[in-house]
Parts: sequence; structure tokens; C-alpha cells
Amino acid sequence: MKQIIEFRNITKYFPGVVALRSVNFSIEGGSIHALVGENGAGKSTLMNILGGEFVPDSGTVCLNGIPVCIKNPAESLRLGIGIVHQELNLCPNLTITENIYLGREKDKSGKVCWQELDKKSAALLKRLGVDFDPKTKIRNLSLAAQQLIEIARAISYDAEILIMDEPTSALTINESEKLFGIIQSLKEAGKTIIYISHRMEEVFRISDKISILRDGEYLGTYARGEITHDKIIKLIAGKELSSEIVERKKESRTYKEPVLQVKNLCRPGFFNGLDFNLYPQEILGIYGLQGAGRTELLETLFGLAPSWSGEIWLNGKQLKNRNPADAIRNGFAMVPENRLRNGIFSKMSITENMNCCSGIPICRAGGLLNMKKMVRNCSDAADKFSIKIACQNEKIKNLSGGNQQKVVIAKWIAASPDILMIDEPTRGIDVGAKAQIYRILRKLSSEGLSVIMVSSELSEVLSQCDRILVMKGGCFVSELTGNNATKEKIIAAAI
Amino acid sequence: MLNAISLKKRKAASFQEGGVLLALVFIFIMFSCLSPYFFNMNNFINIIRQISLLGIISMGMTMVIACGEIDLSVGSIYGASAILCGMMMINGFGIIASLVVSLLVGGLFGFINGVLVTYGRIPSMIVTLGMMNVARGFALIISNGRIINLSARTVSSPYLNAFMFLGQGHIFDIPVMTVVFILITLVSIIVFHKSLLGFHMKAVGGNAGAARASGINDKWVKIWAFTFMGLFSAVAGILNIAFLSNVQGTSGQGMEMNAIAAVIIGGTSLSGGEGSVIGTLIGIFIIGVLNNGIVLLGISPFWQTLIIGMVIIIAVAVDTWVKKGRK
Repeated sequence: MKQIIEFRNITKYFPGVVALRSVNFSIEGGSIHALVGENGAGKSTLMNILGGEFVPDSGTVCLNGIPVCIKNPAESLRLGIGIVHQELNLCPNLTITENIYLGREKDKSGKVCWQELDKKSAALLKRLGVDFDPKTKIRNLSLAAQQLIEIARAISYDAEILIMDEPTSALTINESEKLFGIIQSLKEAGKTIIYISHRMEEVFRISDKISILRDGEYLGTYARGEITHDKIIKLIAGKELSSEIVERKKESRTYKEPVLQVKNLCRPGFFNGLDFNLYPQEILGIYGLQGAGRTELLETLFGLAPSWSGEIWLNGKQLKNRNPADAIRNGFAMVPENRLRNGIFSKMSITENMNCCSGIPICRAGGLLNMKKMVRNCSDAADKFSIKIACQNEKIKNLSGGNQQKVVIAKWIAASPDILMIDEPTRGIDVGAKAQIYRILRKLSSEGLSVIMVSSELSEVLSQCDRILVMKGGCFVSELTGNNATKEKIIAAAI
Repeated sequence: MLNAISLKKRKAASFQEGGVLLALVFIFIMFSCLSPYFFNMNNFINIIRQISLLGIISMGMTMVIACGEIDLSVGSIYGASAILCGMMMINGFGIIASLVVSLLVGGLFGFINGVLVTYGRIPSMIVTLGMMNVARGFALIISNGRIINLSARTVSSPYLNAFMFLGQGHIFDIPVMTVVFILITLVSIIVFHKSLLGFHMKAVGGNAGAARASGINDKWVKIWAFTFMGLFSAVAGILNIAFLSNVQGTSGQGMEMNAIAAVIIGGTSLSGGEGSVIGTLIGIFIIGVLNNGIVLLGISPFWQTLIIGMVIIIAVAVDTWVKKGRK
């Protein structure tokens, strides 16, 4: 069969990281080709290059043997590449037809004829084996149906190549089955499908070939029969630790009284019956794939969840955090996953960011700010956490991601918590700053702080945590300590 | 003005108010050259008296906008508290009682706005659009649409002259109204720039999610901002009735837009999270000087509206382009 897509030496840099390092491989026309790898391995970046969202820094993409330059998403569609994104890109207030033909409403004579378009989209949906009224509003459809509309839209562009990014992450088993049927029939119709997924069972079930990426590097393509489940996991995981990241010494410790006990914690739709303990001076890692419920667990502990049940005991006393202010008063701190959205105040200065937390006393009598204290807090923290600051009045958005993260951590430490919850501590941060953040966390934990670290980065969890809980589908599926914790075991549990 | 310049120096790193201040200086020099009547003490006192009421309201608006919200009801609250104060006085209530009650009612209107926006989760644009009509209706109902005149004939209190002094008197040649405006400006600087509440207003307006996750009670911060807004509107409304000695139910219409304009010209972004009392002060001066200068030049007052409109657009456009250019 002929190669429909060929990646030649694709390299893509992002500030501080190499997202793709001369990736070379090709995809056969009319096949289902799976792309697997850890979070951040470069799968999405590669697909976004095909989709015209990013332009590679070097290397070429060949389509049917001809080098092409995909500058923008429109160009990509014109070349016959359709992407079904993980996060759906539909307008919920418009109908199925309106969504499918958005931007292409006019016929050749320049008129808009909705009846005609409705008929066309009905025919399109029929080809996919579903029977929706094309006048239905998207918001009235289930997630699975919405995904089908995305697929229909991609097909309506006569896409020869269909990229699906984790299409089953939001689907039930039945819906997934249906989707696999549709993918199969698309293949029979001669389309090429690139299928990105974390779920090995799916990958082995539907794909003809499997390519593996790790840390932006291409590791090989295997036909389905050629490779075993275990081998893939080894390849995905087989990352050597960066030399700059010092591994935490794993002492065999005897756990006595836990600081935090969580019993039968449930949050409908996210997790169920979680039990765990957190011990003094411990860094507890929670590993899992995206959507496993890790962030939601931290939110619940921090009083950000609207409804939950279960018991939280801190130092032998049961407590309820109804909101973050309660949580802070009770000695919790949380460094959020999305720094830009929930972590920093981008319009504020570094000093203001460093003091913006109800747990930091910066008030004089009468509610007036103690500016001197704020400035002192900031310079103390800058010293303690070696944050490079030229001017304290500078806006925080002008700092690098690593320094921003250090400011956020420093702020929470200034609130003198007993428990620090930190979600994806080093997302979007370069290697040097990563090592510094690890050093900070280790120092804090040796000074008596208990840390819960949620991370999708395997090497991080392995090198920094005393104990690792693996979360999958809203449950803890494995607990690993000391030498027992290996990459293979963690991945096998999480996938 | 000197105060503004020295503050500008202190904040030189951020350059926030620098641009607007330059614009003000430019307009000032322009009118000084064009009109022989502009550059003299009497005219300056005229200008600061004219801008005082709008200025008081704009201070509250700076806080509300910094919280990422908007208040369209201020003109109506201004009218309603003035009417309430006047009605109480001609119906035999004491001056102090009338003053206190109408101030509290103004604050209450703002408080209700705040509660509906936060706990009611209704967009502030809608809540205050509704409250604009509710407060206006309240003013028209209690006054029955009549003009309320305060004079020795209608008000029996011996302290009527003391009340009128608030609107018409002078302290060392400076109108009392302006003195109140200066006091309100100082209060605003303390609340907005020097207190924890103001710090939290900026945090909530800049990133409500992060503020909540930092243990800040975002709802009460906003309620406070709206309450200050209502209270300041009432202060301005009462000064207005003391100045004119009469008031009618339609008083203060359109004032909300001028207040928003002053805040925006002063460099505060409508998306919230930042703002400066000094910037707003400069914005008010720009509007006041323009209005005054246009009249002195004998240009038709109809042009005033058009020119102020253009200034708003130019001010925001320049601000946006400069910020983009810096990136």
C-alpha cells in the first residue's frame, strides 16, 4: 500500500522544551494507525502540525509523496485532513447542519439554501449509520453524538485522513463500541485514520499499526501482531531520568500517626470510595492519566467541590472544608494545575501575587495593608526559593513559567500550611527550574511539611515521591513504595 | 494636579497614568491658548465645582469596574436619594435624619445590586440595568413626578442654611462640594490602594477563580464595591439638591455613562483587575476641562457630546495600541 503521510525529520521546539525531535515515519493509506505515548510525549503536537495549528521548526510533511506546507487549519482541511479534537469544537447553540456547514453555507451561485444543506447533512449522518434530525441543536445531543457530528463535519470536507485525539475518553462502553464500528466502516471506505489513545485495549483492538513516541522522540512503528502489550508499555515508560534531577533518597520509613486520613471520599461523576493516609514529612505521589479524577480529588480536599461525601481527618480531628478559606484556615494549601487560570493574577505585581492569600497576615489594624510586610514577605521568599526577580513591582506575567510557579509555591508556603497539595508541579517548566522545584519540595518536606503531588509525569513521581498511589477511573488501583515502584508497574496499573 | 504628577513619578515603572496625564496637559494648554477666559482662577474653581459630583460617583465606579463588574444604576440612585432627602425635609423630618436615611438608602441600593450579582449570580449589567429603572421609579413615585423645592417656606428646620452650605458654600474660595469630592477621593485611595479590601477587589476582578482558591471571599468583596458605589451616588445626589435647592425625579439621568467614561479614559480596563483612583481623577478632569473649554470657545453645546464620545474612543484605542506595542 502507498504511504499517504510521511513525516521527515520533524522537529518542534517550545520555549524550554523540545516537543518533537526529528521524527521520521510514515502512515499507509487506508489503514488505522495508532499513536501512543505518555502525556507530553508529543502526540498532540505532531497531530497539530498536520492540522495546521503549528508549523514545524524543521523537517517536512509529505502528502502522497509531495512535500506540503500546512500553514493554517483551513489549509489542512483543503488538503483533506480532518481532526476530531479531544475537546469538541462545536457551537452548542446551532443545529447539526449549521455546525457541519459553518463557513461554507453558500452554494455555487452564492445563495444559502438550508433545506439543501439539511438534506446533505442527513445523507452524511446516514453514511455514519445514525439517524438524527439535522435540525437538532448540538446542545441537545449526547457527547458521543456530538463526536459523531465532528466526524461528519470532517468527512463533509472530503477528508481522506481523519485524526482522532482520544475519541473515547468521554464515551461509555456502548458508545465506544459504536464508534469502533464507524471507524471500521470508514476504513473500508478507503479513509486513513490516525488514532491517538491511552487505552491499550482499544489500540490493540482496532489499529493496523502502532507508532510510539516518547519525550518527542519516535521509537518505532509496529504492526499489531508484531508487538505485545508489555513491550509497548516498556517502550512508553523507558525513560532515563534526566541527570539534573536528583532522585529522592528512599528511606525505609516506619509510618506512625498519619497527618491526614481520608475515608470513603466520594464525588459523584469523578471518584468513588477513596481511602488514603498522608504521613508527616512525606511526599505522596498520585499518578494517573488525564481524567482519572486526580485534580478533582485535590479540589474536593480543598473545599472547591460543590458536593461530596466521606470523612477527612486532620491530626485526629474530623473536619469539613466548605470553601478554600476554610481549607486554608485548617492548614491546607493547593498549588493548582492550571497556573494561568487558577494560580496567578497576571495583572498584578510579583509582590501582590506573593501575598494574595487569606492565610498570610498582611493587615494592620483597620484593614489597612502593611506594604512593608508585603515587600518583606516577597524578598524573603525570593531568597528562600531563589526566585530571580529584577523588580518586585514587575507584573508576574513577565516572569518565566518556572519563576511564576516558584512564586505560587512561595505564596502558599507563606501561609504556613501543614499539608501542601501540588497539582502538576512542573507543567510547562524547563528542566533547570524543574530541578529547583524538586529541591524546594524536598526541603519543605524535610522541614515537616506533608506533600501530596499529583502528576502525569512518570519520572517526576518516581524520583520525588516516597509513596505512589495510582489512580484510574476514579479509584486507587495500586499503591507502590520504595523499590517496589517501577515505571512498568505504574504504567500497567494506570492504563 | 501637582499631586497627580508626583504620584506619576512614583509609579514611573508602570507608566499607567502617564499617557492620560499628557492628554490632559495637552487639552489644558490648547484651551489656554485658544480662549482668553480659560486660564484664570475663577474658571478653575468653576471647573472643579462642575466635576465634583461626577467625580464622587466615578470613584465608586473605579472600584466596581476593578472588580470586573459594571453599575448602570448610579444615576438613578443619585436621583432617588436626592428625592428621598428632599421629601423627608419638606415633610418635617430633621435635616440630620434626612441626610442619614437617604445616604443609607443609597448604600442599600448598592448592597442589593451586589447581593444579586454575587449570591443571585445575575450578570451585573442586567442587575443594574433593572435597578436603574427600579431606583428611578422609586424617585418618581415618592415625588409623584413633581419638582421638590427646598426653601424657608417648605422646610421649617432652622438648619436649612447649614444644609445649603454643603452645596453652595465655600471654604477658602473652594466650593464645599469640591471639598467633599476631595475627601471621597482620599477615602477611595485608602480603600482601593491601601486596604486589604481594595487589594482583594483587584484580585477578584483579575482572576476570580484564583482569588476564590486563595481563600478570598469574592462575593463579599464585590458586595462591598457595590455598596460603596451606592453610598457615593447618594452623597453626590444630596450635594446636588443642596446646590440647586430643588430636584426632580429625572435628576441624574445619563450620569452612569459619564462616570464609566471617566473611569475608562483614566486607563482602567473594563475587563477588571486593575484600576487607579488617580487615573480616574485625570479622566474626570479631561471630561470637565473639555466641557468647560468648549463652552468658553462658544462652540455649540451639541458638539460637547460628540467630542466627549470621540475622546473616549481615542483614549481607549491609544491605550490598547500602546499596550499591544509594548508586548
